[in-house]
Amino acid sequence: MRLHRLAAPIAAVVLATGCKELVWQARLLPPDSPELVAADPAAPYLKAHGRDGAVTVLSRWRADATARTLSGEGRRFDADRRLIATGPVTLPFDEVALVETNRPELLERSELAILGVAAGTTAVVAALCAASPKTCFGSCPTFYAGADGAGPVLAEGFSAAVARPLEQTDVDALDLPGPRGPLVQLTMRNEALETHFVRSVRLLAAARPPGGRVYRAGDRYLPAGRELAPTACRGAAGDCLAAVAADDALEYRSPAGERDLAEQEEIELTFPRPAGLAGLVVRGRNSLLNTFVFYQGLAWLGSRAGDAFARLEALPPGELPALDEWARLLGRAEVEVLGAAGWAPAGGFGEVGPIARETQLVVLPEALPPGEVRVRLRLTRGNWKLDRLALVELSGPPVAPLIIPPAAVRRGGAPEPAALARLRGEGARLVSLPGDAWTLDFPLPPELAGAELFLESRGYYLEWLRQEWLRDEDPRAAVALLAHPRDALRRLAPAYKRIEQEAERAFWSSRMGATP
Amino acid sequence: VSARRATSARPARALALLALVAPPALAGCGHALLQGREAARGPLAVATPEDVPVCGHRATVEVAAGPDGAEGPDLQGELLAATAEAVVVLDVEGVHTVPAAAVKRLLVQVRPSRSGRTVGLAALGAVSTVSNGVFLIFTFPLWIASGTAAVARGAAGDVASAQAGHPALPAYARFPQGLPPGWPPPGARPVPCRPAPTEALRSPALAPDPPAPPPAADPLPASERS
Repeated sequence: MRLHRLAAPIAAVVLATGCKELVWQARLLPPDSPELVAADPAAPYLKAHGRDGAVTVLSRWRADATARTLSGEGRRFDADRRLIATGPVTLPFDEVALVETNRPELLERSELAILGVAAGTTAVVAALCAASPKTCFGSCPTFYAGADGAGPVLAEGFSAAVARPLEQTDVDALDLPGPRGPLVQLTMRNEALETHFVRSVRLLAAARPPGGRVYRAGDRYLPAGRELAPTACRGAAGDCLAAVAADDALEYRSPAGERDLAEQEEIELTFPRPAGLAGLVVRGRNSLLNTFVFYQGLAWLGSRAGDAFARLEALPPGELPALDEWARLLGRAEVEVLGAAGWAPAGGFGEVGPIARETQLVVLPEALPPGEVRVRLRLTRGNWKLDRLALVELSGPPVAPLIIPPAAVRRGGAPEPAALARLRGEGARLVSLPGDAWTLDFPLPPELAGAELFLESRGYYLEWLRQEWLRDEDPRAAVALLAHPRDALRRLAPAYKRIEQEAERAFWSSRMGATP
Repeated sequence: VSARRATSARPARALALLALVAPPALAGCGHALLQGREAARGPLAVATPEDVPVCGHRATVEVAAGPDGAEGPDLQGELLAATAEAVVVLDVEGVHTVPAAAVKRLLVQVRPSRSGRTVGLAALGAVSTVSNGVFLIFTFPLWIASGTAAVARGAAGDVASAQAGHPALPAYARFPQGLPPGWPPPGARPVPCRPAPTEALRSPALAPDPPAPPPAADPLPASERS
C-alpha cells in the first residue's frame, strides 16, 4: 500500500471523531422553592436528592406546591447508587433534601478542531503530492518585502544554479511597493525542499530620471521616460492585449505543445512610434513547464542523483558537460523587430523561475522604419506567463547603480552577525534550510529614496529528491535528457499535458506560504 | 540531495519524543477556576433518563500542610459531598473526610478527560505524515504543535480548581445536600459509583449498568405510586 493512501483515512478518523460532548446543566433548589417550576422549564429531568442519600431521577416531572409533592416517571437509586426501583412515583417534599434540574447539552470540544487543521493539511499535501509529485513547490531563495516577509514576493534568486559548479549571480528588478524609508527591509526565505547556499545578497539603487524609470538590459541600467502600451497583441492563445497592457494580475499564457514541449510560438505586438531610441520592457515569469522538466530529470536520476551531483562538483570548471541544453531549447523569449529588411533580432528576455515576476529591457535598433513599431516575441509555448509588454523611450546613457550590502541580518528577530558576514561575501556561503527566513536591512541614502531598486544575489541550491520521485528512476532517460534533449522534451509532452491544468494549483498549494 | 538523511536522524527522534512527552506534560498546566453548573454551555441535547448521571464527579483534594509542616497525601476519587465544613471523597480505600481548613486546593473533573484520545489521534496523525514524503518536515511538526495545543486546551477545560467551601462545589458531588446521616453504615464499604458525567452511558457496551443488588429492582412501593 502506498503511504499517501494512509492520509485520507487517518484524517477522516480525526475529523469524524466526535467534536461534541454530552454535559449536564444543573441547578440546585429546595423542593418547596417557588422558583422550582420556573427554574428550568427546558430541563427534561429532575433529580430528587433524598434525605437518606437516595436519589430519584424524574422525567415528565411535576411539582405540586399545594400537595407538596413531586411526581413523574422515576428511576430510584439508593445511596450506593444501585438502581432499586423504576416507574411512576410521587415524592413528598419532606423526604427530599434538594432537587436538581438536569438539562442535557452538547458542548463543543475545540481541541479536535485544532487537530482537524493538521489533518486537513496532511491530507491535502498527501493528495497533491500523490496526484502530481513533480508540481510540489520548489524554487530557489524567494525575497519578500518587509521585515516579517508579509509583503509581496519581489524576486527569486539564482533559480538556474542547481549545483555548485553552476553558481551564478542573478539580478532582479524590485518592484517595491510603498514609501522607502532610510532602510529597505527584505525577507529571504527558503520555502521549498531545497538547501540554499547564498554567497552574497546586495541591493542596487539607481537614481531615476525625473518622471521616469530605470530598467536593466543585461548588465546595463538604462534611464527611460515615456512609456507606450501596445495597441495590438496576438499570440497562440489569441488576443493578448488586455493581458499584457498593464502591470496587473492578468498574465498571458498559452498551452504547452501537445507533442513537443519545445514547440515555439510567436506573439506579435504593435506600438505607437516612440521618439528616439526605445526599448521593449518585458515583465513576466515562467510557468511550471521548466520546473516539471527539471524535476523529471531528478526523478530519472533517482537514487543516483546524489552521486551524479557529487561527480559534477568534482569536475574541473573547464570540463563541465553541457547540462542545460534542454533549458536552452525551452529558452528565453527572443525579441525581434520589423525593420526595412524584415524581422531582425533585438535581444531576449531570460529569467528562470515560476514565482516572482521579473522586469527586463530589450533595447531596439535605432533605425526603425516609419510608422508604428512592430515587435514580435518568439518563445516556447506554455513556458511563460507574460504580465506586461511596453515600449519605453530611453532618456540617456546607462547609469551606474549604487551597490549596497546588507547592514544587518536577523532571524526570528535576533541579530545574526555571522550570517551578515556571509551575506556580505565574507567567508563561507550562508546555508539556508527549508523553513528558514532571514530579514535583511539595507540602508538607503536619502538622495536615493526614490531610486530604482534591484536585488543582486549570488549562490546555488540543491534540490531535495522527493521520495515519490524514486519510483520514476530511469538513469538512461536522465542521460537522454542531457544528450538528446529534443527527443526527451517530445517524450515528456504527454505527461506534462496531463497535469498542465492542475499543476499551478498543486504547486502553490504545496508551498508553505501565501500565493503571490 | 537525498531527503532521507534530513528526515530520519536525530531531529525526527527528538520530535517523536516530544510527541510523547509534551502533551501529558502540558495537560497538567493551567486549570480554570470552577464555575457553577447553572450556565448553559451548548444547545439542548437529546438524552434518555438512563443517561442522567447520579454519581459525583472525580476530584483531587490537595491537602495542606499540617502544624508539623508535612503535607498530607493528595486524595483522588469521587466527590461525595462538599460543604462549608468539609470535603468528602470516596476512593478505593474508603470514605475520607477532609476538613475545609485542611484543603489546600480541590481539582474537579468537570467534564470527561479526552487527553488520551487526543494524544492518540495526534500520534496517529503524526504517523500519517509519512504519506507526505519529505513534506513531513512541515506536517510532522504541525501535528506535534497542534496535538500539544489540543491536549493543553482540552485539559485546561476538563479540570477546574476551587477552594474548599466554594458555593459551586455541591453541584458536582454525589450528595449535594451533604453526606446522609448514617451512611455508610458502620463496617460497610461503599461500592464505587459509576463516574459522572459519563459519556459511557451513551455507549452501554462500554459501561454496562451496575449489577442489580439482591433482591432485584422492584417496582416502587405502592405508597409512592401516584
